[in-house]
Amino acid sequence: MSFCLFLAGKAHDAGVAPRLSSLVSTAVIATAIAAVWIGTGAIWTAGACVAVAGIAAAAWKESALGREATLALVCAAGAAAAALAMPDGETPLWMFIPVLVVLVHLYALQVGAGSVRAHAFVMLLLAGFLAGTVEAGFRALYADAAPAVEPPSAPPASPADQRGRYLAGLIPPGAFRGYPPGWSVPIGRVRGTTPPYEKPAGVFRVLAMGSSSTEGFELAGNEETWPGALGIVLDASAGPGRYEVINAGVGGMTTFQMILNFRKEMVRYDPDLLILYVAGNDQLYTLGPFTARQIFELSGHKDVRETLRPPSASVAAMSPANAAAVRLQRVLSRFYVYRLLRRPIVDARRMQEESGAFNLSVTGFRAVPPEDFTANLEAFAETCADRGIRLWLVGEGSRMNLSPYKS
Amino acid sequence: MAETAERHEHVRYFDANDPLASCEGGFEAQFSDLIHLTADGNRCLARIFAREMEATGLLAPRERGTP
Repeated sequence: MSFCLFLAGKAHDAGVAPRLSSLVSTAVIATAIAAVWIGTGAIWTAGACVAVAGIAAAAWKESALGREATLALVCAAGAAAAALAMPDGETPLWMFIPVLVVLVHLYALQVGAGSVRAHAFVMLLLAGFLAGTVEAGFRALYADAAPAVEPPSAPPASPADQRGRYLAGLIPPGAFRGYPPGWSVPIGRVRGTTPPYEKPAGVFRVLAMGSSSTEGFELAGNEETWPGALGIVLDASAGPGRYEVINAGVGGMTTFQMILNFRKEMVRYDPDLLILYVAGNDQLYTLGPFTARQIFELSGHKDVRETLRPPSASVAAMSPANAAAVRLQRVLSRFYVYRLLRRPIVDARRMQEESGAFNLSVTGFRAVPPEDFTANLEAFAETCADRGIRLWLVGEGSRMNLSPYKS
Repeated sequence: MAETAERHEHVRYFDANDPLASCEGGFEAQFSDLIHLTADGNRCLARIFAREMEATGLLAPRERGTP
C-alpha cells in the first residue's frame, strides 16, 4: 500500500496524470480501511485508520496532493478517534467516515479544494434535501411497517408477514439480521466431548444451541448444564448409547451468531432434534444498559423480585461509550436512510462471516433488533425444514418474537 | 400463508418459564443470578425436556432417527 501511494505521489510530482494518481491513492486508502474493518473490527480498524492517515500525510508531503488530502487526513483521524471511543460497542457512525473521505476527495479532485469549501453549505443543503426526500419516500412506501427498534407490544401477525415484507421492499423491517462491530463467530465450539460428524447408527442426536444459559455459566462441568443433564436423563430412560446430546452453547451469542454457527458447522452433525434455547442476549445488547429489574423483565422472567441478585458482570460491564452508541443507534435506526446506508456494510460483514475468512476472538456486545431476531429464527426454521430436523424454540417466557411460533 | 404454516410444522415453541416454576423450590430457586440456571435448575430443565420428548414421541426411538 505504501509503495502504491509512493508511486502515485511520484506520478503526481512528475505531472503525469495527476488526477489519476490521486484517484489511485484514494482507492488504496479506502480499500485498506475497508479490508481492515471487515477483517477485524473496531479496535484494529482504529489503528489502521491512524496508520493509513500517517501514510496519506507522508504521501501528501511528498507529492503535494493538495488540500483535499488534509481533509482526508482529518476525517481518517476522526474515524480513528470515534472507533477508539467505543471499542466494545456498536459503532454505527464512524464506519461511514471513510466513505465520506473518499467522496470528498473525489469531489475535490474534480472541482478543486477551494470550490469544496465554497460549495460546502450548498452541498450540505442538497444532501439534507436528498436524504429527506428518500426518507419520506420510504415512509410512504412502508407506511404500515415503520421500522421498530423498541420491543413490539404485540408479535407480528405471522412469520409469513415478515418474509413477505422482506421480499416486497428494499429495506423493510427484518432485512437486517445483525450489526458488524468487532467480533466474529466462534464456529464449532462444543462443551464436553466433541463427537464425530457421522452419526452412529441407531442414535437419536440432539443438538443444543444457545448462549451462556446453555453452555453453563459458571458451572464446573458439562453434566451440570441442561444439555449434559438431558443426556444423563435420556441414558437413564432409554439405556446408554441410544441418545446423544451435543452442547453447542456459547456464552454471549445472539441469534445472529447462532444461525451462522448452525449453518456453517453444526448442521454437519446431522441432528434429529435442535433445541434452540434463546435467552435474552439479542434484547439486552440491543436495548442498552438497564437496571437489574429491567434486565430481568426483558429476559422474559415472570414474578420479578427485588431480592434477586444483580445481573451478571458481563451485562453490567457495558461501557458508557457503548451505552451511548447503543442509544444513538436506536435513534438512527428509526430512519430508513440510515438503514439503507448501513445495509451494504452489514451484508458485506455477513458474507465475510459466512465465508469463514476470519475467525477471530469475540469482543464486545452485539445488537440484534427485534425484527432481526425474528428473521434469524426464520432462518433456523427454514434450514431445519430443508434438512428434516425438528426444531424446538425455547424461551424463558420471552416477550419478543418467539410468540409467532407458538402453536 | 398455508405453505409457510406447513413449513413450520416441524417447529415447536417451548416456554421454559412455567415448567421451571414447578421445579423444587419454585422458579426463582432455579437461577444462580437473574439470568443463568444453577446446576439443579439445569437438571430440572433437562427433566422437563425429557418429558416433552416423551410426550411428543421422541423418547426411546425404535429406529435410527425416528421417534
